Amino acid sequence: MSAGIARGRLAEERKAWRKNHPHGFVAKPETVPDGTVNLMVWHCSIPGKTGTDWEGGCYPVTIHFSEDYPSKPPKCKFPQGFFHPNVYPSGTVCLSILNEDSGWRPAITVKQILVGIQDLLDQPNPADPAQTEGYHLFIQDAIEYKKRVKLQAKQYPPLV
Amino acid sequence: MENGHEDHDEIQIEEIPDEFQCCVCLELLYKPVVLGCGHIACFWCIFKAMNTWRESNCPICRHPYHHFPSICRLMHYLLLKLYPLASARRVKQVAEEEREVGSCSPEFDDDLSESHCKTDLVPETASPHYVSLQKCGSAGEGNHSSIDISLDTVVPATSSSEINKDAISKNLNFADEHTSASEKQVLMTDLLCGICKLLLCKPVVLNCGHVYCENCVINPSDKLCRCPVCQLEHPNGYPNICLILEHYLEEQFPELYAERKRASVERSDCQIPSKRNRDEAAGCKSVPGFDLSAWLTGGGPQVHFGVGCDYCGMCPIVGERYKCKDCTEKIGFDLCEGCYKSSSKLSGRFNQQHTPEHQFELIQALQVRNVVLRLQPERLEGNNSDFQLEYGVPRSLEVRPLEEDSSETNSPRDDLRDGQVGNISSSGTGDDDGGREYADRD
Repeated sequence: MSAGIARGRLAEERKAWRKNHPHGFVAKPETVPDGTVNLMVWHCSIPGKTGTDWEGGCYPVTIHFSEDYPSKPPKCKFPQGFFHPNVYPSGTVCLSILNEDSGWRPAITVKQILVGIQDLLDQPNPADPAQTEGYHLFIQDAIEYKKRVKLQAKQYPPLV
Repeated sequence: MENGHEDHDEIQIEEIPDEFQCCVCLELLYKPVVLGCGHIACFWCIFKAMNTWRESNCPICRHPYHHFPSICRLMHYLLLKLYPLASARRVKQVAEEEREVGSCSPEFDDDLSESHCKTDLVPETASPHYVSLQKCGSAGEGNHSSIDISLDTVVPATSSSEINKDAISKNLNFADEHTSASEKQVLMTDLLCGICKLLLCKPVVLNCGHVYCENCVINPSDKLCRCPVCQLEHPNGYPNICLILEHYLEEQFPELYAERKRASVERSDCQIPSKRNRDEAAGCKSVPGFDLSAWLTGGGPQVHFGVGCDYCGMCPIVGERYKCKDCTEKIGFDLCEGCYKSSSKLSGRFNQQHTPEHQFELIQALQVRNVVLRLQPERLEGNNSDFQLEYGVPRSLEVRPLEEDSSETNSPRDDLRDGQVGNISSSGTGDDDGGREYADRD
């Protein structure tokens, strides 16, 4: 019924991001081959926190916004097969603040989403597993889990 | 600015501090509404983020609410004064959006300050209510000294009319020269409490959009607070202090505000209920017994999805719904039972041209069973004995013809109507048979 505010809001998000954003993070709207900007899809990169096994990696995340944004949360995806207990095999991130029924609030910004995902990397939530491999290693084989995480960090070197 | 070729007026627009940015659209708050939790967003932003099916949640803290608040005029005028350029841009922008959507937000007289002073201050004629309020407060604590305090607060009321007149003339001057945006333009008289007529202290914004000191409007002997100007009850327990407004007051009038706060502490100690009582009060929702699960299993009152009350803002309307037959606006004009029976005469939420001469008709909610079947089949299978009990009984509903001709409804209702038709055709039987058939399946 409404001319949604998704685009307007995303334009403001972009402005805010350009003004100030956390160090090491990247977030920019997709550029379509014809050169125009598609505000509804953002390509982002989240650095692993220093001092954790995730350090040294810059993990690519694609955020898909719907026309109902910000009433409804966007969908955040790592590459397919990303290793993490709370990431579905498709790459979709399972996180309370991205769930419309539990934690999503229209006031959450792209910055908060990305920082939230960064926190999730090193602090998986075993109560809400989304893939079997990552989940089982996390609760059963801490050594192998650590190894896999460090290996994955090397797979995603920072783009300098 | 970022692109270098932005509009000319964009370049000279004021810097908007974060607290006056709407959390939903991230632009300057425009026609702000304040929720019971004290958080603020634009009128349209809240409206669009509301859940048409059940209670909505605050976009900032997820605090549940069931009533769409009216615009807070005091804040609206404050923002117009503080950021005339950005506001002008927003006015234009929102007007365009409204044209596209075909609905309007409430219009106010442009003669800002005057209307604010006239409408938001409790008229002297309303003082009996005010006095009784004060009496309740002091009687409850059984303390004589507080009577003096309440008398003190009454005294300035007599002189304040002069101050107001003075303020009006000053404000009008400001409105003329609109161009230089300086915070000095904001006068104390723009930020008075309608009850004590002093500078607002710990401001709370009621559902009707009026702003009062917390101490003035919250009456602990009563579980709810009622607006002395429009007589509307504030739903959902006591409102929280609007921290953004309080912060602004603190910055703008540091000494005066500190003094007001000190003075209020003595009273608040005995008057304002403790945190625990507040939570209790918040627990006793003013929506009578609205409980989604009870409703889904057939127990509760009827719910009109996607329809809100134009007086109190309850959305969706729970209980009886009265629809204006004469309002031609696309968005319609509806009242809940309580507001229909009350004699208050407010204007619509969307600037409808409703007049007291208009006729209402009683609308039945969509049939519960069809909605339920569509939404929660698995839930019902566990509950089918209740279900049969409730829906085996024929209900006299002459709903459908009415619902079908209401072609002006907005999309959530359209969905519902489709669902209803779909269910009827798929079951291929009348209401009661359909219910039984479903119940028998298990």
